[in-house]
Amino acid sequence: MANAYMIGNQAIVQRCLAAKSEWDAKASMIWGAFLKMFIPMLVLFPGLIAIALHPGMEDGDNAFPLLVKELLPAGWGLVGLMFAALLAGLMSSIDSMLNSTATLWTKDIYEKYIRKDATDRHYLIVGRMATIVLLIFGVITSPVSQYFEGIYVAIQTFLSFFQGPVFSVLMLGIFWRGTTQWGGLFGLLGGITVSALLYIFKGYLFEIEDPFLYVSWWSFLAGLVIAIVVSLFTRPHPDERLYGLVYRLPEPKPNTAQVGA
Amino acid sequence: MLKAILNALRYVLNFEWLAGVSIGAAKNVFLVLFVLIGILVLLIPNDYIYKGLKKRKWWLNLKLWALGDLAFIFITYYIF
Repeated sequence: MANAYMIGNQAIVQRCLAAKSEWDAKASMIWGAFLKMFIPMLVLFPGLIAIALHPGMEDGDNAFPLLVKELLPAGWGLVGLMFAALLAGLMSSIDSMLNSTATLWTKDIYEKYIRKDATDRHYLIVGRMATIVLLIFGVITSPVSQYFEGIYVAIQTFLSFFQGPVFSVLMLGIFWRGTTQWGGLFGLLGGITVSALLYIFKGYLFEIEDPFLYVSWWSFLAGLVIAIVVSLFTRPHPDERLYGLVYRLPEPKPNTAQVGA
Repeated sequence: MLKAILNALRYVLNFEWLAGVSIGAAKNVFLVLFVLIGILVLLIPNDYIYKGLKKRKWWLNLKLWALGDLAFIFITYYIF
């Protein structure tokens, strides 16, 4: 489901939209995919080292700070450098997420349904206020992670609710011209519902304690099936509306009668 | 009845139906998948690849970059 993050996550997509050109956006994604391949190693190795050094460690979230404290030589500034890098990475991720969520709220909900004809400055202020509210919400809800085995599991569990259904609808919309807005909506809502049900009944349905990858995959499949079925029963969009959105859809031919006139 | 449905669901959801597939066979499936993705990459039109660039240089061909990524993951899977 790494594809769901690299292709479907708004924080990543928004970075591509800020690229200098279409080529730069594509190149950044391929470069990102290359770096992403090292993530399993970067995540696994510190954990394995920590288990080897401290076999009785109870809280996995303590592994990384403990390794930094014990293994990095003191007096060279390396510990400070490591935490500066950690904070820089964290801030970069958090500001991307806040920015993308504030954009989604302002552009897709506030501007569309609450106040349509306001000035750009108004929307800018709304976006900034949304960022502050989201940040406060994030701080208030952060203790929720203590109910999970670790922060990593908490993040993956929350992601698993949405990334499968979002990715299914996105892929279908890009590669199948028959996808309709109702198909997308029902696929998304149906997929999220399946995720929630799988998580609620995980004790009865799964053999492992934290089945976030299973939930992601099955909700992806559920979203895909629901979106296809609903799309087949609803009126398809005309090609003119889909050009530029659906992969390899031929450009609509100009109306010859109008050109002649 | 309910127990039978639950067992069937568990069988499907936990991928128990794939338990008979050996690790070697699963690895081969992924290797074939990477090759197929590579073929799809090669089929992408060059005009689409170079969109947004003023000059076309061979090292800016993103097909090569993508094939490099695929080669890396293919070799990793092949070795391990």
